[in-house]
Amino acid sequence: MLIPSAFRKLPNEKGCYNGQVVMGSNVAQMASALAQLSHCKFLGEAHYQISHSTYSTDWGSEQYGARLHTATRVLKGYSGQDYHFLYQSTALSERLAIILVYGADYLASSPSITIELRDTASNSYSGTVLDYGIRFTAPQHLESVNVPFGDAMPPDSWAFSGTRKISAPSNTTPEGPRPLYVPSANRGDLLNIKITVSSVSLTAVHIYDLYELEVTP
Amino acid sequence: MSNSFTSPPTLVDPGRLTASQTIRSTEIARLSDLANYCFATGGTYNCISQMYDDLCFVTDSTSYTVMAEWLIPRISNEHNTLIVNVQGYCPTAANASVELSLYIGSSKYTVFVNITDQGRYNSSFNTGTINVTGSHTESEAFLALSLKAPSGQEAVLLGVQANWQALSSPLTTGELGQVSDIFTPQGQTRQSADKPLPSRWGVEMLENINTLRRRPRVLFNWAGVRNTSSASAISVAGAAPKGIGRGDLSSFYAEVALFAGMVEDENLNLRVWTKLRNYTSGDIYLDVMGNTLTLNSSLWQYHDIEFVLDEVARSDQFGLSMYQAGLDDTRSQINAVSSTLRPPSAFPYISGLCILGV
Repeated sequence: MLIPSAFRKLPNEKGCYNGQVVMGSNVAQMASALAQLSHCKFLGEAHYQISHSTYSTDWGSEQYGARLHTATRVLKGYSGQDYHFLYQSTALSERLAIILVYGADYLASSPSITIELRDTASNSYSGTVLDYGIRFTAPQHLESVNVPFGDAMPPDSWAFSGTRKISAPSNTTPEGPRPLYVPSANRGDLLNIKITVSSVSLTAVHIYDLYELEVTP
Repeated sequence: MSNSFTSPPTLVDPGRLTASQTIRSTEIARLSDLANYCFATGGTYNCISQMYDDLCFVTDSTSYTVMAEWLIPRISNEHNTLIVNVQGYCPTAANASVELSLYIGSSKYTVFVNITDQGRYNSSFNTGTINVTGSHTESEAFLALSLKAPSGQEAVLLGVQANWQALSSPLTTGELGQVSDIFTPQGQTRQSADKPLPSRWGVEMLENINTLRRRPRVLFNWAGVRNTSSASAISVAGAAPKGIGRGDLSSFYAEVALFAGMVEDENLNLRVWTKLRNYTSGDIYLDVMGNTLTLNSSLWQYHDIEFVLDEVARSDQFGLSMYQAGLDDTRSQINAVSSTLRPPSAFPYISGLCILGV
């Protein structure tokens, strides 16, 4: 069935009144509108902003901005640092696209971002790995800029997993960027998207269920 | 079973809905099932998603102090369980604690959550479940988060995630509310073979679809952190952002899908909620999604905005029309957001921003 993305006009209510011939087109329009809701509008998404220390030797304790000055500060401590992003998936969360906003330290030898999907059984950060995931590296997938101010302060850059329609992956170590895959048994669960950064400062992570234009009933 | 639904839902066969085909009870039953599914589960993904770097969101206070406050939409009058997952730790002792207070109208619902970890992402996160027991028709709620540490210790928060819990099958009988709109669940026993297809089904289904189209989606939600405290110098701990700053503007938005047809229905709105702190008087002009909002209150304030943006390039990859939901990176924003010229200690600052779409 084709899944519309628009709020298309609904049939006139009078067409459903007593004495009217029931038209297949009325039912088809309702089917289309409901499919738009379930398979498009109500697909899951999460938009994380990551707050960093705003401290600066220039203005000390004034606290504003999720990042410092006009750039993303990459602290020396951002080496092999983990984050665990919780995502309440839906029953239709088959593949998850990821958009990352980050700054990478040019002076570091190998900026990278690794993403892995885990379950959250018992609220554990070390739940079962559902997808061994993907790795973004510089210069193939990440930009890194040389800004020689001590802790690096590169401008924001964006990285994207893409939206390819993949089957269940079989990799056991991270591979190149692609959407994450949620096994059918875990769709609708709270998921843990574990992100490990190296010489990278994350400022936002956006997570999306992926829309499919056509779904087999 | 009456008012039941399947998850994941089953779509109808479009080949059965064309001219000259008999309208079978199978299709009607599946549509009823799908509508019930949408009401129960639509919009139950993250409504709060925020993450903090280590030692930013920190307190050494031994009494509860409100440190962050979010606005969240109510997705229906029936979704009354808010799940809040808190990631944090207390370095040297268990039992740092979080107080979560949900305000709906004049009612307040509070739960307390003990933070069990003693190191950053040491073992597990902690969950608070807020049950709304009263009957409410408000379209929004406010979640306030307070944090306290054991005596002589410090508590650190790393992340907050929240979502409304989906309703389980079957839905309760009778009309269900969504603010002032109505959803009438469809009983499966009425859709089986040899049962009539009444006018009522068609009329209610149209109303149900319109109700669900109006259900809000969270496009962007952010709260600043206030009242941080630490025995360490602020160069080391406690410098979480209170307000939106000039340096945020280049990427302080989410790319989100918005749907054609929205502008043809006055009930399908984009709504921006803002919260100013340190406000006394005057107007502050904030640019959001191509609209200029006038902020002039210390209370949460909303503006329904026009849909005037162009699509972003990534629309092609998602197969949907995507737009930037967030602050605009315009030059005039220097008079609205915090900067060295407008420090939060001396000027109003924006401590909360929530953008809702449909």
